[in-house]
Amino acid sequence: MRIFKLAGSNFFLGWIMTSMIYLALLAVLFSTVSTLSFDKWRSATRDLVTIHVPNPTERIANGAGVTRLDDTLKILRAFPDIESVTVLEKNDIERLINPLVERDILKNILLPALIEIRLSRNDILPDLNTSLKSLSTEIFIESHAELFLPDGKTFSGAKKLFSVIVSLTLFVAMISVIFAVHSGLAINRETIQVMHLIGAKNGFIARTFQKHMLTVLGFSSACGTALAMGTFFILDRLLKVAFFGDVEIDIFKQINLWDWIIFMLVPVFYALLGIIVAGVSVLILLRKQG
Amino acid sequence: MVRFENVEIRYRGKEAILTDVSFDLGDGNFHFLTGKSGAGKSSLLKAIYMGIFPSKGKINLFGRDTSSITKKEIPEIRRRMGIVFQDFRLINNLTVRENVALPLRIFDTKRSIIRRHVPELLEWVGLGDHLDDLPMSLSGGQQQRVAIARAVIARPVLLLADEPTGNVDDTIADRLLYLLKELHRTGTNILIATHNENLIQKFDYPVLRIEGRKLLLSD
Repeated sequence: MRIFKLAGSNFFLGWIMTSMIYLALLAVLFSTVSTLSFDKWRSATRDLVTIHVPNPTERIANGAGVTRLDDTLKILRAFPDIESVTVLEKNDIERLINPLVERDILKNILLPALIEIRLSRNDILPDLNTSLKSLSTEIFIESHAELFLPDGKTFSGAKKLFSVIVSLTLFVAMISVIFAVHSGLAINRETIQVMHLIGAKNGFIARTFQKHMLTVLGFSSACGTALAMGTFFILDRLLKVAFFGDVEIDIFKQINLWDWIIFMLVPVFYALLGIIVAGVSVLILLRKQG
Repeated sequence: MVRFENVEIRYRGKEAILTDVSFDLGDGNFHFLTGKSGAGKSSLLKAIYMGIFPSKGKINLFGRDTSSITKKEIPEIRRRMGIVFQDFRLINNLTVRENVALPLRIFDTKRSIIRRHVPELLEWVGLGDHLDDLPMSLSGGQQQRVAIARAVIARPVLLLADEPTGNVDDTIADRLLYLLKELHRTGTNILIATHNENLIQKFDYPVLRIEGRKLLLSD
């Protein structure tokens, strides 16, 4: 039973809510994917340290045939809280700097030895640094976690931006609900008056409005979600095919069940909050009208 | 049930419409309220259903002084009344069935009861074939009967009807009055505002007459 005439405001509200839910879902998804990617990246590099040993084949003064690299490895293997020590092959080093330096030039450069170590504790780095500097002041430690610190800030900034976008969409959505309620009450003033004279309480009128809203917001949530899913699917395909070639970028694979649940709760939350805001707005406006 | 004591009714900033109005409508009554156009019949009905409040005097409804009734209590009091408006005030986007069912829905009546009672009542007022029609597709007389059906569906203690025969010809007016007479027989108290003197003479009920802002009671 459609007591109120709300076709006009429903049309307006439907479109606004669909757009806002769509934008919010995009923001939530991008935020989730970027957070997951960064966490994955950070956890992979958190305890990883690269030690640069210049002139690795140079023989040290008081060791019989012992090179600087050997001496460095000896210290590293004896050091507590180092889980693994891997000396990178020359090919691997060349591959790392290949995009930056031409192959012909590489032949004439004496490359440093790179030792990748994985720590069980990060706080040993100062002691390790002191020990290695005692061998040679040219040896230096490169912490991957510190190296990616600026990227971490970028990711954190992006996450904040997505949160702002979600908040803005929520704000616009709720303002639209309030606007729709205002116009709905104005259009249906006579009907509401009749309902009051029949003995309707404001609560009944608010519930009736909420039922109307439920239909509109339910439809908008479904449309917004369908549009967002379509966009994700297209992005997923584009990222797989167009931009990264053989590198696997799979949006859907990165998101776990819990993230999907949060994602699906977004439209439900918008709809529920919209219904609550509509009910409260009707009650406040009717009370104001006396 | 309804008692007016020296009531004055005036709209804000305007001259009084009714002054020093006193009457008492007890249980089991059927009254006509008459007077010239603009005499204040509708305003008096409005005061009974608390659409306006008196600027002077006291109105007592169902044992309650209206000045002590809070806004929250008004719906409960109105649920004991049925109102037939001069301009019907049917909800145009609801069907005849839905319009009549509206009070029951507002009063949270079970759907099974609504489904049974509404068609029965509409059959009784001669609109059994128009359950799913919209009010705009009905004639004035039919709309009036829908309005009456809506006013009585929840079995009110008091029925207030404002010019219920104002938009219909004499034959239909008589039929509507017989309908209201039947309702009265089933226990509903009725107060009909009308300026149709012929109608008043046809039915032998007490008359409240408004003359010169005063109310006179005549049998």
